[in-house]
Amino acid sequence: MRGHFLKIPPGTRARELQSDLEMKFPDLTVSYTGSKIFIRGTFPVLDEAMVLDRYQIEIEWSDTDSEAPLLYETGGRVPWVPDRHVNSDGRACAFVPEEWLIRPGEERTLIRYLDGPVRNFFLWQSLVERGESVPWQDRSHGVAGLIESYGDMLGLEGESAISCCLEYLSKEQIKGHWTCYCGSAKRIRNCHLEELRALRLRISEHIARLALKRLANPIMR
Amino acid sequence: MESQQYLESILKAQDLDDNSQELNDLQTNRKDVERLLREGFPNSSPTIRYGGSRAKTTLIRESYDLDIICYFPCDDTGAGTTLKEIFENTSKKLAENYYVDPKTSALRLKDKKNKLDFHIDVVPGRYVDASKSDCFIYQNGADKDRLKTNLDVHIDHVKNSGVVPAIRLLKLWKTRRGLQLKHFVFELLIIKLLKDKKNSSLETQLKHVWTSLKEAQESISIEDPANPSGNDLSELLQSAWVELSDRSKATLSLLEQSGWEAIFGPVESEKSNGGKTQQFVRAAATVSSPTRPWLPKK
Repeated sequence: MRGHFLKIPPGTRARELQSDLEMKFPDLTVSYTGSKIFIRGTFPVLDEAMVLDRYQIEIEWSDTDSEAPLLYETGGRVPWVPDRHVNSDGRACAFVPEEWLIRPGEERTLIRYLDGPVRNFFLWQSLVERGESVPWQDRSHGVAGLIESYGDMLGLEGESAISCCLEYLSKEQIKGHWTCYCGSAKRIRNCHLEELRALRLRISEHIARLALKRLANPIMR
Repeated sequence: MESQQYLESILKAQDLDDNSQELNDLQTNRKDVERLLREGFPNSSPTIRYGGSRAKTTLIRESYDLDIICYFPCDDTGAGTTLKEIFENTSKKLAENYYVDPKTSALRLKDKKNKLDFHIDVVPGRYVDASKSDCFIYQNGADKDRLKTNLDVHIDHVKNSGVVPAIRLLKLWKTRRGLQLKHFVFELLIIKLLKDKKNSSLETQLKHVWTSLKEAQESISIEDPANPSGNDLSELLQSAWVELSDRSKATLSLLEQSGWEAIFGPVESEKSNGGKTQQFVRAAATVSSPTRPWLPKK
């Protein structure tokens, strides 16, 4: 997956990321402290080539498969309140981390992160600041938001079905005699086995385990 | 547009005029801070006034922090007998109305409920003597717990440097690039680098600063005009030097390839608020795969 990045010294990786940014985000600066890589500067909310707004940001970058990058608005513009999706420590929650981590490694680039979740988050903030409605809904807070998110990932509804399905996906092997996660009380081989196998292709054991851990402790990184 | 004209337009867009919402908010909070401190220390008569970029005329819209100094007379113990006590007691008084985030020598004020940044730093201190000129400020968590400084010397040094427009543009450049160097130290560095270029165009001044930063192998030494021997700024500058130098190099190369707009962006047109909102609405409508914000805590 992305393990090769982890073997690169942070200074070298920081230079690679800086060079990735040169064309589209020349304002952002990549630096590192110890093994941590930070991206700081002013993020332009772009609409094609037009700058609609600017936010001062800090990102603690992560190349790992288990931690999503951390985003902070550092200009003091966005209030640290739940309704604006900013934690009491200033960390912005642009998404449920597994929504990022489930993407294939080659799609988890810094440019895609900036163009996708970061842009969406600040576009959302600018609209809310102006009292406008946003065409897409934010998630509920806490576990309820995780259930919505994992439900979207799995194509399921209901907390028990989602938790059970994640539990099965977290195992190394799928066993046909398990009771189906859908609540039918049938064995899975006689119910949703094919669907579970299809999910397995998209959702690794690792991601399913992370999701289960987060359901038990939503505030983990 | 000519370079000089373009850079002047960028500067103009960074002005905060006296009727701006930002300045009005700052002034309202300033009054509240002054009231809190005067009522909090009824037996004292601190000097409370603007410091920082507001006083030095280097304020920019994108980074408009307001420094309010609160210096107690040398024989005044109303806020405490030691500098540490003054710092802590001032913090306690401000905490009645604000969330106070203590920095090295300043107290950053935020909204108590939502931690929204008011962009205000209160700097407590005590005058060295009755002349009310030099002042000692507390250095929270630093090796040396007090620092001698002089607000008027700082203000005069920057305000009369003859290079305030270049300082403001370079401050914008530093802010946009998130460079981790104190504005005060950066200002001193720019003044030193431009001491023989005061009459040059903005374009020449900026290019000169970036070229000097790019070419200097080691950090350039600067001194605090208010305390040349007692305030060692070398460590602050050294720790930021590689980044400063690298980003200057990248900026010069970008400037050569793509011109000034690639550095500071287009000059913002005076669009009405409604027009701008429509642009946001249109941009949001074209988002094909929205990521939905969440929050771990309920």
